[in-house]
Amino acid sequence: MNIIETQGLSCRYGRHEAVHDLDLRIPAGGVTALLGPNGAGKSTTIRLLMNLITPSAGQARVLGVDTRRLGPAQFRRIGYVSENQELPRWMTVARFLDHCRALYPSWDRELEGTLLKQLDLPLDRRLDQLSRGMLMKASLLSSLAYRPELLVLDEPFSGLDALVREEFMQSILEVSAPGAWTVLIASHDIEEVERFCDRVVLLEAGRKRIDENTEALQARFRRIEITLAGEPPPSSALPTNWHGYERAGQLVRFVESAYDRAETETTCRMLFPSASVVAHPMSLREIFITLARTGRAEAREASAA
Amino acid sequence: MNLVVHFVRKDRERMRLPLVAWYALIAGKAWWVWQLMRSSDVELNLATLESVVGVLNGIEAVAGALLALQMAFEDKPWGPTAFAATRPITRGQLLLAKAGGSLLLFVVGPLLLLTPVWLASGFSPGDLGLAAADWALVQGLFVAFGLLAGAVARDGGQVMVAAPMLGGAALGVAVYLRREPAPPMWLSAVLALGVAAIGILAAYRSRRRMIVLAVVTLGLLCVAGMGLPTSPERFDMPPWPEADRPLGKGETRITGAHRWMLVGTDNNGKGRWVLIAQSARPSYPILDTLRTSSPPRAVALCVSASTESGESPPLAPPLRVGTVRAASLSVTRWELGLSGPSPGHAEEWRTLSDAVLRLEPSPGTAIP
Repeated sequence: MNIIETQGLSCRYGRHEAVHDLDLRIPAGGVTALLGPNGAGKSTTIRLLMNLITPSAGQARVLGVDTRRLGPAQFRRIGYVSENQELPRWMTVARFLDHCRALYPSWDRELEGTLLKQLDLPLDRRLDQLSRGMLMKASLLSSLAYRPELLVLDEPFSGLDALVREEFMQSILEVSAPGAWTVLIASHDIEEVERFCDRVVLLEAGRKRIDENTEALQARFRRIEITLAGEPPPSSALPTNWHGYERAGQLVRFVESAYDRAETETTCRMLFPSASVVAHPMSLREIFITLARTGRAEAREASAA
Repeated sequence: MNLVVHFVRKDRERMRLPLVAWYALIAGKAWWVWQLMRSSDVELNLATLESVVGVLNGIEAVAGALLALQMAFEDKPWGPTAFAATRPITRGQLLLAKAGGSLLLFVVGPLLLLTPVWLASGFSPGDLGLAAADWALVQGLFVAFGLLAGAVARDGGQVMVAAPMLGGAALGVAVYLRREPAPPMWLSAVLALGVAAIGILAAYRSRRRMIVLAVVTLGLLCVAGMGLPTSPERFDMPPWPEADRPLGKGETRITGAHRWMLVGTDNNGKGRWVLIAQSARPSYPILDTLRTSSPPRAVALCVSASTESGESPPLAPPLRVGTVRAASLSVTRWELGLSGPSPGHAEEWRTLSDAVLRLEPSPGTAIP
């Protein structure tokens, strides 16, 4: 069952289209990362999913319900943490938790206590006296203590130091057994997300570029290094799945986006018969940068044409 | 229902400090006017106090609107960063919490503070009902527009820009059309309240802010198009039950919440001696226009003076020095001087210092 589904979801801000014709299928269970550079449409997508803004076209369903009809029954099952959310900052942490507790019948006091210890939140401090990291932790606690089925995080790490990030993620991962809930996390901090996400959706200029299982994605991307033995440049066109091709002396480098050991080697041998070929695994961050560069180059070519 | 009460309690806690300050202003002003009703201080300058209290009345009303605005901003029903919009509470519950909370904290609360003052001032049950309704209508109007602004506007800046523009446009339409006869103020107030209520309902039901704003603007301009509402001053007093008993200096005659006091004799600053009299009565600036469309600018009493030697010096028509209106109480001071040329400083002083007042029912003495 898909916990989140969108069909042709679009959102315009005046002339600017922040999200374009987005089709998403996020299955229940697991952690999905919504990645993309600044302005890619991640936060807009999250806001559309939370019914905070209205789509200009298409539709979205969360927990099987059209987002425009999301009501208390669904929000009792959704935890939402966003860097931009207007929290009642005049409250102390304790008062804030009191306030949230009344909203959720399934609020778990024991879990609240555990999270409080784990996140090391000062109960008597007002939210407006907390650092940004502390504020995000308070927001997270208020969204975890009722054990939501779906946890939606919008840029939770921006501006947080490494320690707070670690505590933040530990809390998310330790609260629930893997597969017991679904986490959708929008971030441009790929290294942080890479450690625990099962699935990656990459947005670029409001369009979906990748929607894939993390392992499969990392399996099909390789950084290839070819050491030439005096071969001339290839006379035929390079394969389309080779990105960022560059040659420096006897060294050729590119990223293969459809890596298959045998097939890639065969192609390399055809173009560079006596060269040695080495394939390096890539991190999500490297894949992301490669795709972002390719996207920009394509856009430049398209606009030039 | 529990969630509605939960949010009302939360808002009350949030508003605690400004609310206490606002209540203090309301109660303090009411207590002060109540004291003024009893004051026999001849030196008191009601003309100055009139404007000071007028400013305080304005602050009181606008502060009510700002508190309601803040309450609505606390839990916005819409918006990309709204906290309540992603929590399990319906917009209907949110509206109920905000409207109910506003009614309780900004209308019922102050009325409870004012009631003891009104009772101590001798208000009859009818006066009490009218005063409460009048105060609730005026304050309700401000609170409703505060709530509406909080539900529609994105932030305080938008309110600060849009509210004067909207107010100016409504005033401009009213002045430009100059509809005669002008509608009574109660009618305009009730219609404007209706427009605000429709706007609030629409703002909590639909996130189409521009449509809500257009509907409210159109409604307000229609109300303004009826003409500039009027609330003429009333100085009439009820028939005097002891018309034959004269009123000496420092003495007060009370009929329910209406009272006359002969404060004393004073120099009016223009070289003439005058008697200073003070009248106080319940005042309902909005609902007064419901009771009569053309209230008399007259004291419905014949005011005459007599001295110990039995003379009845001719008095000029009473001259209103100033009127202080607050908390549905109106206190007016009058100068009663001898008509005609001054008989001389000492003679004028002697005549007026011995004088007592007679207040007899009459068709009314015109106020100059």
